[in-house]
Amino acid sequence: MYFEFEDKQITGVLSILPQYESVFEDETENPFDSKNRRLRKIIGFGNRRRVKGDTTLSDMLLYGMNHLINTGKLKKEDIGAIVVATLSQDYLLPQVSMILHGELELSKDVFCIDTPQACAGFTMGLIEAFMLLEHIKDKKVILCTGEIFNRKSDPNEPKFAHPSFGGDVANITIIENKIQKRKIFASVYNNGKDRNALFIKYGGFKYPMTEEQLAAQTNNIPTMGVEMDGSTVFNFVQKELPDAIKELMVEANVLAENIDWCLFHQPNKFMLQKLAERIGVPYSKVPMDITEKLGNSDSGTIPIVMTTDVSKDLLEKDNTCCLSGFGGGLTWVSIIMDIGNLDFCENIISNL
Amino acid sequence: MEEIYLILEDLRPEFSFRESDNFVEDGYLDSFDIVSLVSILEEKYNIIIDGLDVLPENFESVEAIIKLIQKNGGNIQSI
Repeated sequence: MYFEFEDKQITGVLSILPQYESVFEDETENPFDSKNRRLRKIIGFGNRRRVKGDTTLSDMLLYGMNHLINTGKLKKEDIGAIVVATLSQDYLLPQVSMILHGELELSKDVFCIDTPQACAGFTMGLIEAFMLLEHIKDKKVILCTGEIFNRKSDPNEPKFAHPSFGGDVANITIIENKIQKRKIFASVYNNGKDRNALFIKYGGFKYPMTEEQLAAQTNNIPTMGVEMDGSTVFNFVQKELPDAIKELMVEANVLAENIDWCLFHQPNKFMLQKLAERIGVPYSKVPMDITEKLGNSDSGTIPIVMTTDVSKDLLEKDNTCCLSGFGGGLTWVSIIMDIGNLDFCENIISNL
Repeated sequence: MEEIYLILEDLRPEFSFRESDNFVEDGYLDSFDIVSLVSILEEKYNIIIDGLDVLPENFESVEAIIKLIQKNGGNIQSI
């Protein structure tokens, strides 16, 4: 499905990082053997941020919302809608957006919605925000993303046999109506036939958690087991993404060389290098170090690229950006839009 | 062929690649090894392997790996 939007803009991005950092050399068995050293270099395994054992995503988001409100970057009365795109719900009910609504004591007419999206969550959430802004002309949409799959409750947990690359983060992105020179071009594609290529089997009604998993959950041990058919996912990205992005460039009348930044989901460095080669953009325009610096946080990766790798440019000038989120579904959502002169674009480290 | 065997034996010295009919099915190469192998082959043969070619079947035998290198412009003998 193809979309065009006019006069919508991202005006601020905040990423909230957990306090705890897992260091590759400390958490990996045999970190210096040749295989792990090679993988670290090629795939980009590195350090990652993990929340405490009892932290929820709403805790992280509330920390960020209070920061924005207390620093004058956001007024409660300007909020028209809260869109939460994540798989890290606190509960089945109430939704994370409703928790934020209640804790922040927002007005009854604030629109709230949660959408259970994984790695395409940020770009899908942006499209929802743009559609909502057609109807709430004078207010802002708050897009909340991020995951907390890697909660660390045991400071003495055993080392991992294989390198781990999941990271926790929460992000708050402000989107509002504002006159723009360029339209926004977006596309959404799905392939439900390959839906089990990224699979979290347990925890829903089809396969409730086992007793062992429930006990682990009770003791705050992470139980979010993501099963992945790596070959199917890798080839889906290499086959479908370049076509979708090139198609969008034609629609937007933008050449690859005129893109300032490709802000892509961050599965790993190797996959992004191969994707850049297939699209025909230099590595220098595709930040790909988030897995190495902070870990892969699914719906949180694109905003954390913005706040970590390109914040200076996003604060100081207009940039033609190509965003693409891709993964579980399988879903791939791409957007070409100008992003720049933001009111804020920063990381904060929480105590969570 | 010999140089590919040497690369594989350096990558996973615990396996006897010369006795295997299919490195992937026999469990000698996992997805991490394939990623490593792509990087090693690109550097050694000064090529860029197309992302669409990073498929298990292109790494299941020495013959398949040689074909992959040649397809992506690498200079290597088939024998």
